[in-house]
Amino acid sequence: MTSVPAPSAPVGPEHFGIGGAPDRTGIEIAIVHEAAVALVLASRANADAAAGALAVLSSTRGASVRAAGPGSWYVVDANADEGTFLRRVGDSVGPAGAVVDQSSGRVLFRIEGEHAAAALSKVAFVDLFEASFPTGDSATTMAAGIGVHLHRTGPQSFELLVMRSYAESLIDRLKLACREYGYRVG
Amino acid sequence: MTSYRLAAGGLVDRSRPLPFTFDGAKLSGLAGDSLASALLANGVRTVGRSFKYHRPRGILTAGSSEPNALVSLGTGGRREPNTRATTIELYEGLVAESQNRWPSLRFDAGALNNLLSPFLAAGFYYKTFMWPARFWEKLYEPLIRRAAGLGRGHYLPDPDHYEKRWAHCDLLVVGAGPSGLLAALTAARSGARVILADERERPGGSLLGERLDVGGMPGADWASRIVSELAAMPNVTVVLRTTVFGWYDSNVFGALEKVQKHTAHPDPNLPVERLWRIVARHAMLATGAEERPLTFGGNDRIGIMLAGAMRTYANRYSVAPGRRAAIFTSGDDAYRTAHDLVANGVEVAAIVDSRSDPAVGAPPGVRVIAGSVVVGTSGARGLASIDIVTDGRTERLAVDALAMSGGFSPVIHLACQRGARPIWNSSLNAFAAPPGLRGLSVAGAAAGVYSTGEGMRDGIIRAGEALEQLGFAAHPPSLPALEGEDGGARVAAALWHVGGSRGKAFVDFQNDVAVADLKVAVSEGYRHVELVKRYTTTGMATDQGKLSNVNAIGIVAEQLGRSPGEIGTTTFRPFYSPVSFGALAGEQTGRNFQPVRRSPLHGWAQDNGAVFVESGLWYRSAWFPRRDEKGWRESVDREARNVRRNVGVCDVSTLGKIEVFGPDAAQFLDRVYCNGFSTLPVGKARYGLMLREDGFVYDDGTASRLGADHFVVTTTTALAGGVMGHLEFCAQVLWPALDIRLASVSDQWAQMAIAGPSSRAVLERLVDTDLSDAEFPHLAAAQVLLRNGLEARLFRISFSGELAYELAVPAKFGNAIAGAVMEAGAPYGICAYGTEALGVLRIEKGHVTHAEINGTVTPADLGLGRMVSSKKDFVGRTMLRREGLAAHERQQLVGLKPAGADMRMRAGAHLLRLDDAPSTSNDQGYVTSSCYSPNLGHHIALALLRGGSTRYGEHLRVWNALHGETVEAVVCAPDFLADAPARELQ
Repeated sequence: MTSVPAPSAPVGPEHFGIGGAPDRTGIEIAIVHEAAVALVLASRANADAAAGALAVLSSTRGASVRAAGPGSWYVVDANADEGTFLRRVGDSVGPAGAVVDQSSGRVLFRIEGEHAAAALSKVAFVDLFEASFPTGDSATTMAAGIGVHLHRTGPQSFELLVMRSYAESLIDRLKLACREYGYRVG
Repeated sequence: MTSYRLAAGGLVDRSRPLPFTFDGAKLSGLAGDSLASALLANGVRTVGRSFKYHRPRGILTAGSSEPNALVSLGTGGRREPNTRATTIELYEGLVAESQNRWPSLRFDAGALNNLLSPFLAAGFYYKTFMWPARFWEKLYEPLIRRAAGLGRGHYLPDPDHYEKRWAHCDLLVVGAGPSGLLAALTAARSGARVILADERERPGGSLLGERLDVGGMPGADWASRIVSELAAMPNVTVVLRTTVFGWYDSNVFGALEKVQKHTAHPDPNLPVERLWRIVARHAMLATGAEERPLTFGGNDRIGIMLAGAMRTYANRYSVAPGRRAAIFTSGDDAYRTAHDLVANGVEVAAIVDSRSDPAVGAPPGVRVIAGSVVVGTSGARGLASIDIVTDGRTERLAVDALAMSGGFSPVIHLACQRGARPIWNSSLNAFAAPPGLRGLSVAGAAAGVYSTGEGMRDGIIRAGEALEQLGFAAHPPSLPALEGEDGGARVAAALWHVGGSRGKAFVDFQNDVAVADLKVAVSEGYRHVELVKRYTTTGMATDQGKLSNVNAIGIVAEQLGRSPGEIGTTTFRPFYSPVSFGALAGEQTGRNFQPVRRSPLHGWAQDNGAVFVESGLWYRSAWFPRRDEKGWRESVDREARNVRRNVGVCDVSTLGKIEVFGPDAAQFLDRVYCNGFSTLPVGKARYGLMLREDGFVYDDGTASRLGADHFVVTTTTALAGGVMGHLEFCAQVLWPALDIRLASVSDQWAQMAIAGPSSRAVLERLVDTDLSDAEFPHLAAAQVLLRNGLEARLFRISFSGELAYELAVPAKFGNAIAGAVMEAGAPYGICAYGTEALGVLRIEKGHVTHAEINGTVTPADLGLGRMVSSKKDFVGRTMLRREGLAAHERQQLVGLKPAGADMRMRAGAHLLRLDDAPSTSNDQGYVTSSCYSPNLGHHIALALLRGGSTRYGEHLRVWNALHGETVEAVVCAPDFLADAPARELQ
């Protein structure tokens, strides 16, 4: 045991590949294994200060900051080294908030395509109409009976953070929801 | 078989014949047909047998209220009973069968019931099969159920799939008839998000069955054009073949879309049905009105149908109802049927009008018999003649088709599904939706606005009102020109039943309830319509009385000399029309019935040959069999023994883990646990008990202080979510002033227990920390660095009574680190152990789980009374002081050992004094957990025993009546290891 071992994938290899309606790939699902995810929690008194610090972090360092409740944010960076990322978030927030590593605890699903909102409406009850849930908006909600954090990254793209233990069940249900449009899981 | 297809016209495609079968007969219809219209076109007029009397029945309607034409559709796993032939789109290869008949539709043995019908009036069964009472369930009811009934279900797996989806809109328009289309168009052009749903495959509603030009084109074409415009707008969703069946709280509507019920070869990538849950800011019912049958002798004879339906079959499906028709009406609307039949070349022998001076014109040459009623019908295999009474004179008229019209009832089911009661409107002679419903309005014929033109105008007006409420400026379209509407009022004179009828006059066709049955019910004292319904069964079954309810209410009202409004209606409940269980289940079948949670050590456990057990949503490794082991017990015994002798590793990742941050974190934990935590030093863990507000134990676990303002709390697997919710409630509601924050990290950490005398030696090979007793003593807790550079958490806590640690690593490295632990432990004889061995070890040590923390125990009952702090307040403190919770005779935790030869004691067995008779009235307590202890060499059990802590040494009887087992046992302290000197361990 001399070096950090390779991480395990949150879902089995059998879930990857294309499926659903033939000759179409209406939806691309990506399971981003290596995303660095931090949960930032601030007390009522410090919430504004933490929000301000996170706004700076997201504008200057490229981390994606997503509201997760009062005084609560997920900060996501799909390409960062976890340790460096956590220190960066901790340094930014300072004493205004606590930083909890969720890089292992949450799995990031990316869902993109013309029918992404339609497919998600089969598992989630949030109104995904673009005017109601514009790019940048987040919701802590349920998908297929599983607690998720949903974030819109573009008109036709969404990201879901789900507890690692549920990842396999969620991909099962997402594939069913996407089947009529054709999909690829990568 | 004679064809009844008209020579021209209709919305059928004569270039696309569609072969299908009915009761095995090969028939052919046309694209655009319903199954009912195709059957009629083929001259198949008998389509089913009635529920109770097995009377032959024909097609009565052209829509979803059909009570008679119920057929089983499809074959094998796709066969669906009780589908309405009137709403089924014909498709190539359709296979349909009639129901409730044996051996055939034509010769049905059950028709014997019809001969007995004079004896089978309402209440017959209740009065006749009263004794002996025990025969009812075993004999009478099964026989009656076999004789009556509809289609039969089957037990084959359904090869298709179903799904559910959510949708959101500003305005949901239910019904794409003339009013609904204009309401939807108004809202859509005003910028509102609109969902337009219609139960049929084509938009247009009533326009499809009329000869009416709209906007200079046939009504059906106009409707399609409007829908095309709507469907092209980004703010509009049009869903056809979709029935909105229910209105629920928060303005959520349930709708069933039949995605692929109109094909013999469904696309496997699409569901056959889709259940919509539509969240609408406002909804508009444009559901139209239902025509009422007339209630006269022999009104169920084949060939008699509703006047509007007959018009629809002629105009839409191009099918003649017969060769020579008559019309029986109490209003103006049926005159349109006469006009349309004549226009389609069908002979109309007469219009029988119950009113003495009808003010509406009949087609030239058609005789109008005013002030008359039909009192009887005759014909062996369908209608041959009707008997008309005018001023006491009877006239027999030879016809093979009779259209009947008793006025209209607005379709207001959805409006009344959330408690609002319909209101009797005497000018409409119908029940209407009450005004002022929040979030829902009614337009067009559903609001009693019956003419097409006025209905369109009403759709625009009501949409405008809704839009204003929703904050949109309305941009209404102009009204299209109408050509061909005669403007006849559809309000008919009230004619609930025809007096002096000959033969049975049916009110509810589906349940075979006749006028006489309702009269019996009233004469026997049933005054309330709900009771009349249950006594007679009127309004029950798949059609839920869509056609019959108002007539039944009218008849009861007449009998009691009151108005229908005073009688009131039965309760409208979802579903408006039947919804399959498949659609309600959606994708949640088989392995997707509920989510499955996988431990981060699942892969490691699998690699080590684990047998998994479902534990809530989790799959937990239960034991790890080896090749030479013959049963689970052998594996579990080996694992438990190895932990006591050497070392073992067990997956405990499923335990809940919650981080508590903030300057008030210690104070917060003081308040949620009955024991104190503010005195806990950094770097230490402590066992904690949480109580419920009522003083009983809620959950247990450890809390470790990782920093002055930072704790990590563990919970049991079962209550991980529950405790998190409880803590959030405490933080947000009970003590919002405390500065703390909570985060669930259950999924972040893979956690393994490494237990046994060699556990330290194993860990020393992995962890870059001094683990000596001096540096890392009992209940130490720290963030550590593994030798491979990974950050981890290490806790010296034990659930087995052995020297033990729990090692937590980021979940994604769980499998790899567990593998490394096995490798490091190999020289020490390490083994993987599962939840079964974990259970054995903790029972041996007398540690409790939720088998003991079962909602009835206090800390003292578990022998943990000393943990309860008297120096602070905490959740449950006040209620714990109740007299009953401190009583000495309460059941308390004890251990049990067999007194004589070793015998198993099962959990759930009762404890009795040796002298007491085996009876639960002598119950002294019960076994909560039991196992074979490989380390002690006999069975042991934990139990809750009345006054148990003072009864050590007493002999009791462990009585299990379910398994017929009795074991004499001796009571001991729950910690079996404390009792057993080390040498006793085998």
